[in-house]
Amino acid sequence: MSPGSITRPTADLRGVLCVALLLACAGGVVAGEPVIRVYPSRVVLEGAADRQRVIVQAVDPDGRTLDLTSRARLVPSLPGRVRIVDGMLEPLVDGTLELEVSVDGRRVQVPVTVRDAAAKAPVRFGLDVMPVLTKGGCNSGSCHGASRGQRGFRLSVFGFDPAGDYFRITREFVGRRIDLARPASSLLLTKPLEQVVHGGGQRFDSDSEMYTVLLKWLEQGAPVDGKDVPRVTRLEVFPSEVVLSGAGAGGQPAAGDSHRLVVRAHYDDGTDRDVTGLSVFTSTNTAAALVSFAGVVSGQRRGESFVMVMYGEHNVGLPVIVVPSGPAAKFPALPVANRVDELVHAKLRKLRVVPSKLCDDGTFLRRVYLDTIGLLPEPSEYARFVADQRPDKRKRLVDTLLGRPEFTDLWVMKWAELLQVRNVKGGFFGWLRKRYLANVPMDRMVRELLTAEGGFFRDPPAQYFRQVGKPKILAENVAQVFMGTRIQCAQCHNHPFDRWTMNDYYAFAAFFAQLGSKRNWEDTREQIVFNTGSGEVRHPIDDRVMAPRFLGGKVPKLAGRDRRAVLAEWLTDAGNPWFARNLANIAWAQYFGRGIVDEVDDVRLSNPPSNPELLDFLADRLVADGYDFRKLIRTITLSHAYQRATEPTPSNLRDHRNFSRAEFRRLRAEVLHDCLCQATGVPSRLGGFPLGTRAVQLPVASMSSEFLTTFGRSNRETVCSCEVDVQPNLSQALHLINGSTTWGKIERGRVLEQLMTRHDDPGDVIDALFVRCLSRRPTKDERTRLLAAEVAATDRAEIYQDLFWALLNSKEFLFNH
Amino acid sequence: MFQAGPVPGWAQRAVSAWLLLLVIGPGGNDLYGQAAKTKPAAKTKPVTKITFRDHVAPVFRRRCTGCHGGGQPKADLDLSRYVAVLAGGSSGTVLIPGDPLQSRLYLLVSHAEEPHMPPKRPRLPKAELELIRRWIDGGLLSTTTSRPRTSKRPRSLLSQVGPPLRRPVPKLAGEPLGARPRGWTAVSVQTASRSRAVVALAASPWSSLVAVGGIEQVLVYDSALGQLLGVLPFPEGRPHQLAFSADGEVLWVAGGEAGVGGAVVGWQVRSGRRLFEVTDGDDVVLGAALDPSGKRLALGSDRVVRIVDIASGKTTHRLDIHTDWVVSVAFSPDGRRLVTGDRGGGLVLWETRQWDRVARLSGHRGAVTGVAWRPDGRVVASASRDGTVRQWESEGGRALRNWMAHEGGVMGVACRGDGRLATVGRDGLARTWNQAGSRLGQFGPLADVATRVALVGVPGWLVVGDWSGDVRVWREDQQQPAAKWRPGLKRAPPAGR
Repeated sequence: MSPGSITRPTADLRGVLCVALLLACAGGVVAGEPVIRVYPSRVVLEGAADRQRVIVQAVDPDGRTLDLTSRARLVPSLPGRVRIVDGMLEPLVDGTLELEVSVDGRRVQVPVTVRDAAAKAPVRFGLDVMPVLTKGGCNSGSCHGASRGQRGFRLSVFGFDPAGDYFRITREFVGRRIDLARPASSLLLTKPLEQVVHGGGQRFDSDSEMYTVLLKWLEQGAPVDGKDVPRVTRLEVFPSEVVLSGAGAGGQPAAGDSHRLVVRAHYDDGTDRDVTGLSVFTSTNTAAALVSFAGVVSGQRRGESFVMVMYGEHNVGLPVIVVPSGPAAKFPALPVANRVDELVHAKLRKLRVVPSKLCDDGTFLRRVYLDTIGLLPEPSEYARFVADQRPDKRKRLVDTLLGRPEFTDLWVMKWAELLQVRNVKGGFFGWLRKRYLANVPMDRMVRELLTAEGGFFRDPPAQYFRQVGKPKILAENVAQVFMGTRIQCAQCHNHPFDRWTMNDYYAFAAFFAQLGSKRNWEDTREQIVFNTGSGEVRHPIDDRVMAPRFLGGKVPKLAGRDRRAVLAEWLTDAGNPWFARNLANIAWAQYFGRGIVDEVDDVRLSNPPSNPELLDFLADRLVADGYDFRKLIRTITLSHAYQRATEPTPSNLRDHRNFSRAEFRRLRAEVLHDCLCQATGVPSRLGGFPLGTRAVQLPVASMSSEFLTTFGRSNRETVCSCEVDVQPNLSQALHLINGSTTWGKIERGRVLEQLMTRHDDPGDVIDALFVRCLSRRPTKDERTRLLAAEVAATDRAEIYQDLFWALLNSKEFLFNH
Repeated sequence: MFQAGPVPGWAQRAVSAWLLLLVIGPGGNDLYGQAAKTKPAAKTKPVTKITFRDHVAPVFRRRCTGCHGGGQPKADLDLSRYVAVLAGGSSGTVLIPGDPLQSRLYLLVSHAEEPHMPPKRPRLPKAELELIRRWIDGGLLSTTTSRPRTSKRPRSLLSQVGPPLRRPVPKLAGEPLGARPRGWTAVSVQTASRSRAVVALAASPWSSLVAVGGIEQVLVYDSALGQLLGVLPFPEGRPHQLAFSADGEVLWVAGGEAGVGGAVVGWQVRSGRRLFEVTDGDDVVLGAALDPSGKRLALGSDRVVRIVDIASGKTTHRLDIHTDWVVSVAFSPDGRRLVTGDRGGGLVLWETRQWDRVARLSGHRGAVTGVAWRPDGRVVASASRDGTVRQWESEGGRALRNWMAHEGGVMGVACRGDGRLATVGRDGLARTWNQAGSRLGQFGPLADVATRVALVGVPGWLVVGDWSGDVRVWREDQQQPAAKWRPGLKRAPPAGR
């Protein structure tokens, strides 16, 4: 299926909307009445076996959806042409007709076409039988899909190898699994019906569609698929959106209302089919919504879920929102800073979540400093910013920060992680830094990187291809870093929760098949990467040569060109659905602690963006601004969404996905280290680098540093964003309390000395320490109590030391908030 | 089922062949007839001595000395002079007098071992191969006046086939060997609109009878015509394996209903009377064998081999060593050995007095799909899903020879009195082999997997079943099958071959 089908309305949905609009005009419906939608908007029945279920949905003015299918009356205009059995349309005679759907006195017409009503289509293995094996759970990893199968019977996990499964079912153990003389007594049927002992229990009933498909196939003689078997091109699920009522605000989980889903597959011969009965449904968040075996979704608690639909090797998803039951509270009118806020608010309105208020100047100052340049604001900057009365002072601050070299350091570090720079020599890091300093547009930089060739020293980006000869790893890395999607699963089997098949994987790997490397004999330390112009990637199942194909895209015309150049062109093209979205998401995650798709490198059908419109907008902006990262970050940081306080409102208490408030984020190892150095005024010596080199500036992650390791720096061993660990843990707390880093720096530093000479008033020293560490003044209470302690103390210096230590150990210091 | 309609050419030929057999009478209707025929022939008609000078040297000159001759012979093997030939090459001697199947030269030129010689050329013509074989067999004579050489090495078991251990005696004087059904009650054949794959197939070693598994029935045919002779009901379920006793008097079937229960049932061939029935566990019995004494039964019950005393019906021993379903079971013709194979490739040789394990016959990397004893009881062959056939010596279980018989997997193996083997495979082919693993003949390919092979008591005939349910009878010297039918099919198959 096409990547766009989740976010963009399909042709059918557009049709539905038109129907709904027409209805609204023709019926003279008063505003405030629900809109009636019928899915699908048009039905084509081809062949005697074709079926199509029609579902009827009402959309309340407050956005809630109701499944009216069971209440609706379906009346065909020509009753002889189709019949309706249990809500299913079945063909009788060829021709066209209108299906009149009436519910609550409202009517909608659905055009129906019947073709080849007499033609009996055979059951095909790949098309019909394989989905049954997936739907029944037969080929799941814990059953016959396990690498050794069960009791000697193995199926390919999630059906990546239909030909192999056909062989194993029909011919591996001749005389056992199927019996063509007595099809119904084949083990393939008696086991899942549990008519005989079956370790996996009963998988389906004898009146299910699954049983019927298998039985018919056996009755036909278990034929192998011919070359003419159509292939699924696209899968779609109706309705396009579901907003259900869950339990009340009291929070008691209770069954909310439910909605039936219908799945339709489109084939490359132009036909389509209702495959609901053969699809597998899963909910990504069962606390919010459950989905039944038959595809009925029911609301539980307030929240969001994503229902994944798998049919054979194809996947499609449907967002489901669960709101509290009862009438919607009035959503406040919120001011917006830019388009980002409009999009964030639109989502929050749907969820009925009210965002937190904006944060104060001090908080914003600290937050934007840490996020943008990885340092704390100096006390002087704090004073200047707080005193500044200009209305656009936040915007000015952002502009200043974006111009600072530390901004470059932070992002060069991030990219050095993603590109796995692990070598000081050779200048890869330096190349990256130069590119960033020059503000080279990201697309150009990536093109240079992906097409790099030559010696590692003279052409540093060529080091990106040091894993020459491993096209699979290169492909995986490129997909994960530049497209934000993980394709590793598809190396061995079709991705169960995404659209990637083994074909996709190996065809993508083929872009990196024609790379070679050799030693530079003038300087034997140097490797040279070059295009060999030959070499192919083969599919491991049938050993066929894979023509390079873009991930989720077309087979390009190579015409003898460097395959990588063709790939880089496609990747950085303005129309590429992945590249700009991925970059925008990475930038967003830097400022919010989580991506719009989270993890940022795990874009997946079953892990959709929490706000696709927002991601699209940011990506479009990035493209429109010529891939200028700084402009994108300006847009992000100036939004109210970024400037929210961390204090929750009653309705956003449990929301962590929709940016309704600021999250607490532990500072990453390098930034925390640099902040400690900055606050104490004592730089560290890291590895062999000059004193004063900040952790963020380190080109490699290999030199030993207990502090950085404890706080979870990236080892750069993989491209995974999960390499950077920002989870707090006990050893971190102990390191700060007992370790030499904090205390040693306080003792060696001259900060307290200077403060005590500069200020006579103990209150001023306390104020200065607070501003220095936390970018805020102490509260009245804090100040009074600290002063009392100061007066009682015998050694003033000691009490300041203790305070300094306590501040550096406080959560407020360790976290960005 | 018997094919209706005009009698096609093959049938006429088959009928005349059958009539001929009847005329030949007891002696001629003997599986070992070939051996019996050649030996007296050797006495009456003096065989020319095969010598290096007169026969073999010209072959070598024509085929080999281009490389293995001259100043620098390949692999230091010079085939142009007698003494040099005996001396061998860089890898040692290439000829063992009297033992062609251990002579490297013969193994390579007959394509039983690699590298095939001459390289990248077709195999030598049969006549030339035969000359070389007989020259080695005759003791590597140099000229007609030379004395035959002998070897101190014991002759390979594969080169010496003994007489069958049990040569059955006809019950009545003058009656041909091999029981034929007589006066069985007519039971109608269960049919279906489609056939199941042939998985149970057996042939009487002394007559042209063939038994095929049907739908809860065992169908007995005359292989010459595909004519149905009788039907044995097997309500216990699906027949999975069929076998005749060595004297052709008893026919037994292992089978059952998957996930329900298994059974082994034996019948007297003449009368169609049930002799015994043994039930087992909750799944099909995939393999079983009757002791030559007819008193006990070995059957695969899941991963265990059960030894059952037929008279009492009691299990006397449980051989618990296999790690997967036991699918192949066979007693040696003297009853002293039992070989059992499983779906995981495990193969075990047992002695049948104390039921101790003699040896694990390790080598197969896929399910053991069949085992076949050489009628003299000294060698057993096993076939596997891994595509190989392996032969084993019966006393200690020593591995003798193995070769790739069918890419994709061997489905079944059968052994003739003279030690020749027949195999069928997933490639849809049936092949015959000598004991060294040189291919003698090939039949097919069929449209689908060839599932089982059996050798009827008519010399040179083999019966092959396939996945689509067809049974075919081939004469070894003809490429077209002599008969073909599809048991248990509701409609008659379309006319033609």
